[in-house]
Amino acid sequence: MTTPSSAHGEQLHTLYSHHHGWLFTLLKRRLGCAEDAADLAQDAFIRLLLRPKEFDNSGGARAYLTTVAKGLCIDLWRRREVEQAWLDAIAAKPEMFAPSPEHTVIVLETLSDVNHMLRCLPQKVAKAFIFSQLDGLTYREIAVRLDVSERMVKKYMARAMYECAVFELASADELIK
Amino acid sequence: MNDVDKGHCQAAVSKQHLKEAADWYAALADEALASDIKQQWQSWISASSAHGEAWARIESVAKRFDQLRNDDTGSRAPASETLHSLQERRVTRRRTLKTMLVLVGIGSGAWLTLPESPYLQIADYASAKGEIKELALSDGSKAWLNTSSHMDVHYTTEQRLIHLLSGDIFIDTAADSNRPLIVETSHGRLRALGTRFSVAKERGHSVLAVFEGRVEIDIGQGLSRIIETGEQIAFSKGKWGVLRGADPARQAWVNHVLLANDIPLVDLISQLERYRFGYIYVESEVAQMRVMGSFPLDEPDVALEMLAASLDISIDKPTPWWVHIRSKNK
Repeated sequence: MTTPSSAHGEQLHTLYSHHHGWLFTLLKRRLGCAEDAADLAQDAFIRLLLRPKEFDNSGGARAYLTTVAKGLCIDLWRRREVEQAWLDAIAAKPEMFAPSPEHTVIVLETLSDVNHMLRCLPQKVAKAFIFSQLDGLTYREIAVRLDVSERMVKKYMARAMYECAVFELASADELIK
Repeated sequence: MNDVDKGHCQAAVSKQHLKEAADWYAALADEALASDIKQQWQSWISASSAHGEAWARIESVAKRFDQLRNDDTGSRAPASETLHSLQERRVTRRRTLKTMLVLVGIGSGAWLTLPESPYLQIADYASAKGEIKELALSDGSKAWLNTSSHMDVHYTTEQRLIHLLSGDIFIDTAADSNRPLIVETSHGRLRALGTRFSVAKERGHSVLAVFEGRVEIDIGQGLSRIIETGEQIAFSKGKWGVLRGADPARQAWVNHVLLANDIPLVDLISQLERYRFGYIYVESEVAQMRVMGSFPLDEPDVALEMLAASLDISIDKPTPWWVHIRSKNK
């Protein structure tokens, strides 16, 4: 019996053999690193595996994979930026014990997600949110730091929360489609 | 969208409800605001299942931050710095571009500005919420800053002056016969006479507890007195509180222990809240229960579990930052 998933697996196999080569070359050129390129090419196909797509022709698959790969590149660069900022923060704290690699991976993952949510907000809104959520400051304290009124801080918080929730919903939606 | 997908989308949330839920969150996230509106918030939630759905989305965002905030390996501070610095960088990048455009236009380097520091320096020494900080001062004295405390230190050849801006400090002074050690709060000026003592700046007054040696307090208007070992007193400008025995809890926090010696539950919780993010609501039916014991300040949530295990109370956490304590029998 042919289950839908094995039929899909076969299709994916065909796609892989036709498209992996050029995708890897494209990524290597963009990233300048074969290792990263291989990882991202892999990720692009994993995405296809998780969210099956029907393509009318080879051109459609090529266009789709190019878009996905570009998105993955940008994600990678942003993750690197987060990683660098994290390493700088750790380096400035010699008294802190070095966190374990496993733990670092988890923290970086969360930081990347959170940074992704915050990066489209105006700076004061994002900072107010970080001050409250991570630094545990009261609205009064945040108001002093940002030089705005407490009322404004509350507005910032509502806006940040709303935008983050919309962002999360949008990414969840994308997963379903 | 095909049939398979529909099942996933049943929890669609309207933007309007999401907006309302975000407004509630913003109102509840600050302790100063939360207590007054808790009831309205709950009736909003129960008014419709769509409200509940919208609230669940907001909570799921909040959880991302909880992961970072409640990190028990000390990653919270660098995580916060990372996010702040990423925000600064965004602006710096844009500002650099602007500066470059200005430079091209005017041809002068005078416009080049350094990016702002990510943190406003408010006090010389500060502790974060939940943090108990031990400091070695330059004269050999030791100071401990309790949770969310701030102090400035000014040492000169004539005196050693510590200004407590907020929170509590515990001081173990080094003897220095030439320079008195002075601790100032907005309520009075303390002169240590070689000693161990704690000073807390509380709402409307400060409290001194002396555990070794003596401390002289000057509260203005010509009023001053000496507090001896084992004594404690509250004071504000021109006013004395009642002299009583030094509460061991005012020393125990230095060892990261919250000491409860037959105090009402609600008082213990308000102490615990100082170390914990979020808001703890205690129902009136259990507020006056008497509590004895010692609780870990580094792990306020463990302290809550200890309370739940030993008292007839139930502790619910509808959200990680919202804790609700009520009678088990209700």
